Amino acid sequence: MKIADVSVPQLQRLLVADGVALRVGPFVTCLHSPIAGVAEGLHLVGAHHPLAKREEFVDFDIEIRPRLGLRPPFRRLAQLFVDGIAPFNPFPIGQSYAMFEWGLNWCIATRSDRFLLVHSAVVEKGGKALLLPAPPGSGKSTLCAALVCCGWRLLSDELAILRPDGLLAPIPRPVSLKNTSIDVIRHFEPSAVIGGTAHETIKGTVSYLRPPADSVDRQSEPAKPAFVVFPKYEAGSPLRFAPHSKARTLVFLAHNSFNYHVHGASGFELLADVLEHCECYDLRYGSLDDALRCVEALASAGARERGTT
Amino acid sequence: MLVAVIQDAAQPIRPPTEARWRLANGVEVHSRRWAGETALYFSGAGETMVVSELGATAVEGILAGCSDLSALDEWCRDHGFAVRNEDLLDDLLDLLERLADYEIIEPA
Repeated sequence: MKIADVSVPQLQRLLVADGVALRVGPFVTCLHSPIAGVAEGLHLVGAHHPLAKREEFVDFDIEIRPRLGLRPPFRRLAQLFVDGIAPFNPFPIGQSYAMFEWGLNWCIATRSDRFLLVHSAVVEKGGKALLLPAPPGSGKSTLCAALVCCGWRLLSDELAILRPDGLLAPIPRPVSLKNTSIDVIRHFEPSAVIGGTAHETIKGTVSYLRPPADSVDRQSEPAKPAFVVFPKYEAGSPLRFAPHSKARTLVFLAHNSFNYHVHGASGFELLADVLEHCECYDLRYGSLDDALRCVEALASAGARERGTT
Repeated sequence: MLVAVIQDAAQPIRPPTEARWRLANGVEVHSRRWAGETALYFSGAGETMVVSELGATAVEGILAGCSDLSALDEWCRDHGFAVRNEDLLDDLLDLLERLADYEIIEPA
C-alpha cells in the first residue's frame, strides 16, 4: 500500500493513532503527528512511497508535536522528537513538514554508519549514477530536480549512500527546493508536483518536489557510480565543463561525508575504489538548459562507449 | 629540522597506483595515485590530503628513511625532481609542516 492509497483524513488519523511507517530506501521511519500540515505535506509529496509492514523493524521513530511558545506573542510552535528525545529547538508549526524532512536527514546522517554517507545529490540513467556534490547555494538541488524532470532516476537530492560494495543505495525522498529554485522548477516542468512549503525558515522559503513514481518503485535497486560532477550556478556565467582531479574529488567527498571519520581507512579505500571507475568534472553554468545538455551529453557519450545506444 | 617518527625502508618505493604502509607507531598510510596527484590517508590523525607528485615522492622518502630536509631534497632529486632550487625546498618544508600538524611526523 502506498500513501496515495489513503485519503488525507485517513492519513492524519493514522499519524495520530499508531503512526505511519514509511519505507524509504534502506530505512523504515515511523512518523507520528497530529499536525494537519504534516499529513497534507506527506500526502502530496510522499504520495508514491510505500507504507512499511507493521512487523518491519523501524530505524527511526519521529514524532512532531504542537506546542505553544512560552513567551509573547505565544506563537504556535511544534517540536520534533526522535525516539522520544528533542534534538532541535521548537519551530513555527507551519514548518512542520519541512522539519520532518530535515529531521529524517539528521537521523540518517547520524545513525547509519553501516553506509558511507556523503553530502551529494545522486541521479541515475542507463545504469550509471551521477553524483552532484556541492556546498549549499551551488544549484545542486535545482539541477538534480531538473534532471529528474527530464527522466533521470532520483536516488537522492541530499545524500549519497555508499554501500560497502561501492554501489549507491537509493533514498528517493522529495527534492528540497529553496527560494527562486521553486519557481525555476515550476516554470521548467509545469506538471511537477511541488508542496510541503515552509516560509521564513533559516534557508528562506522551502518547498518539496514529489519524486517520480518510478524512482520510488525502484528504491531497492542500487546504482553504480559513474560520474562525479561539481555543479556551480553563477548567474550570467558561460558554460564551463572541465575535468576535475580524482585525488581532489576524493578529498572533497571525504570532507563532505557525514561519517568518514567513523569508517577511517576503509572509507578512504571505498571512495578511492569508487573513483577508479568514475569520471570527475567541474560544471559551471549560468543557464539550466546548458547544464542539462552538458550532463545529457556526458551520459550519452558514456552510453555510446558501452554500445548501449 | 624535521625527522620522521618511523621509517620502513622495506616498503615499495614507487607504488603504481595504490599502496599502504604501516608505521611502527601504528599509523597506517594509504595512498591512491591518479594522473600526477596522490590522495593520502593517515590513520590516527584521520587526515586525508592531496599531494603532488613531489609530495608523494617526499612522503615515500620519509617512509624510506630520509630523516632531515637535505636528505629528503636529495631523495626527491634522485627520483626525478632534478632541479635543485629554493622552491623545491620550500615545498618540502610546507609538506613536512603539514605532516607535523597532524602528528604524522614530529619535529626533531
